[in-house]
Amino acid sequence: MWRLDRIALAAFAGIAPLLAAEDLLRPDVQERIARAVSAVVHQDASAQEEIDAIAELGTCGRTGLLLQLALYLERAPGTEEAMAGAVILDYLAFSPAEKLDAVEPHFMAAGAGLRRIFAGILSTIDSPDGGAPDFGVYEERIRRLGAAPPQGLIAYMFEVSPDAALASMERVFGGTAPGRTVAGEDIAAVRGVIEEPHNARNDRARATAALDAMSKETVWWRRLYAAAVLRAQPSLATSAIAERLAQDPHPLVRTTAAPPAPETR
Amino acid sequence: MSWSFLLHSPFREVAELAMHTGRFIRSAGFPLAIAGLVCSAPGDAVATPGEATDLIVTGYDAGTGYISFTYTPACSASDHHLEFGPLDGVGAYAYSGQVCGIGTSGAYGTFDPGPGSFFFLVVGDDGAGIEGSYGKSLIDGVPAERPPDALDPSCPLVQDLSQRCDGPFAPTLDVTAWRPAAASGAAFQRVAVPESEELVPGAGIRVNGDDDDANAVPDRDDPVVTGENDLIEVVLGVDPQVPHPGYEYAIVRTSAAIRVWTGPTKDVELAADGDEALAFTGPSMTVWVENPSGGAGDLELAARALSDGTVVASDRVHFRPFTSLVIALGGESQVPADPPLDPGNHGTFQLAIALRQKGYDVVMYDEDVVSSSGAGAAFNEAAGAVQRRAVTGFAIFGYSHGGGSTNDLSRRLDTMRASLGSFSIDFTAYVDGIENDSDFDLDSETVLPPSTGFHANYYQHPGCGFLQLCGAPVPGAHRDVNVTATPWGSALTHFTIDDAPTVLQELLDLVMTHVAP
Repeated sequence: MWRLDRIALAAFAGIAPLLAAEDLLRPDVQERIARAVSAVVHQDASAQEEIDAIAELGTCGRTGLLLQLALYLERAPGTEEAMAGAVILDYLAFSPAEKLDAVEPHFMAAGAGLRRIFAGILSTIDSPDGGAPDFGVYEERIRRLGAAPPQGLIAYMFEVSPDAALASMERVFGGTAPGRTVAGEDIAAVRGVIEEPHNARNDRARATAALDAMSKETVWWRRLYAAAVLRAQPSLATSAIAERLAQDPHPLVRTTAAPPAPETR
Repeated sequence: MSWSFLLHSPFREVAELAMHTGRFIRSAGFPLAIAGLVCSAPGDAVATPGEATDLIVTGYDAGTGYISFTYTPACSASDHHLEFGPLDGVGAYAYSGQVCGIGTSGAYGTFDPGPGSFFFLVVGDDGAGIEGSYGKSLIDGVPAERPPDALDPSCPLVQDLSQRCDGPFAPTLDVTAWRPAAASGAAFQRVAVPESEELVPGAGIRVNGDDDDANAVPDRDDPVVTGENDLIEVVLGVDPQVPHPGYEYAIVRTSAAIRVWTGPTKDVELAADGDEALAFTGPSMTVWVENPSGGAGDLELAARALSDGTVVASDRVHFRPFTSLVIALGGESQVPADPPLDPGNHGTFQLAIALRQKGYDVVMYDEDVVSSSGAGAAFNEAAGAVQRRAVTGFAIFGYSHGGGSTNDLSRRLDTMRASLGSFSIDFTAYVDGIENDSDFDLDSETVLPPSTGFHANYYQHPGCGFLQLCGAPVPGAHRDVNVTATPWGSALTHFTIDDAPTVLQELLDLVMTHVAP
């Protein structure tokens, strides 16, 4: 399994209209967060009180508080603010459900910086110790939503690891789907290019052929896999694959196949 | 441009006044003009004027008082002027008057110094502000240039004999090489290799086996490379711009290990056969040096005689291929830049910049280009350096989450050895390292980077208090410093340790000790 680095993740932000973060900002909450951050940075005795004071503000519950913290971190100008903000987030001990509730509704519309923060928050659920993500933690939630799967969460999964996301989708939706036309060995060729792009033994032609076949699959998440891989490794694309994915009937596939937005951070 | 030479004895008396009048008396034994090299196309060269010669008085009009004379114009002179003074002041060079702008015709017919006895000289100038030689004389028994007129009552001119067209050709040549552009990551400011380092250790240069234009052709084999970033900018300076007659400027390669191009994306090759004469259209020109396949070589700028190739002046820079790459990873939300965006707060990038100025090939990144698996832009750069640029050693260091990313990157490099090629991780360092499994990871980084040749670990506040961030000891580290226990670092926090002068100086010294550039 592999996952994209966070800078690359931010580049996916162009796949949907950007969230007007200013509309979500609560200046009073942001000010209290800044005071708490300052207290943590300077190791003031009042740090805990300052953090507790944030939680007492009306923020639509802990989900709203987490969203405000994410917005603060997106704007963190330096290590002091970013790391002290992370200390506060850790202290507040949000549950996985709270994190999903805070992030998922806004993920698709978030700009590059906020999307990177959201991805970081979700990664504390699926890979708390780093390494390969365990998307099994999301499958019950996706399964429960059935015909209206959470677009933001699925987009995140394919951005982080198309390979792990594909496996997860097959577990959730694969039971009633037609069989995949692409062999596991061909998917392994794609994985080889993604994991070790420098390796001269990679069979890049086989990987491109596999992506071409995946882009013609009847089920959307397999086509989304092709789009997500090509987003990360454009050198594997052909113009035919790119055009096909750009005209895909599924909006998530189409937007994933679109050119990345410039990094704004 | 054609030049001819008239060689004269510098001390030969070339002019005598035939007349003894009340106003003008020949001074016996005093040459009124001094012989020398004379060019037939004065004004073409940038060299300073030489000496006007062959001054001969041809007439005196008693009615008007005009003296007429002829002379051979000075080379590189676009004008001439007269210097004169009372005859009894000749020994002291007591110039008392000037006649400006007498032209370059070699003849003048309306010189009237006034009543009395006078000496006079014809001096070449550039028509602007520079004058040439007044000729030589025995001064205190030693042949020497006559002193110029310092008062300049009429013609404001300053004598400059440094590049006189009729003197020995001793041009000033300078070759300045610049540090390389960043291979990837943040850009660096343009900075020159110090003069004292031009030969030893020389200018570092990357082996150009990568593919900057992504056309599947190694750049060394590409005639033009869009986006090329591995060539070294070199500025060639000459003074004077045009060499004296009989000489030329040329660049010389001492080895096929380097090639010289007219542009940063290659363009036209220079000195393809080893050396090539250069015509300067200004005081300097810029060329670009490539190292296609490794090895060292020198680039020399020379002034040499056309007749036998004798080099009369030269300057040279030695080019050595980089064998290592330094990778610097900042802390969370620190954006790498040169100069640092927050100069007093981005110590990691200050260190990176200092190492580049010490001659290392350096890249600096946002630590988030390294995923928790070690994959990403930093790894790709490192892999390409080993596979295509003959790099065999790495130094990797980072602060806070950059420390965690240092371990992640080192681990991936070590894991991928079989598919990468031969290299060593010569040096690693954490500065209050925090694991970087995500932006919200707060765990101290305590794992020694695998296969590191030397690991330095600077951390503060071991045991980390409530709501505090801190590094921790790293078992196996070759230098493991709890700064909180030091006199100089007891007040440092997670947010200041990366800027501590002692930490930065020690890291600089350690990299230079353990990593060959």
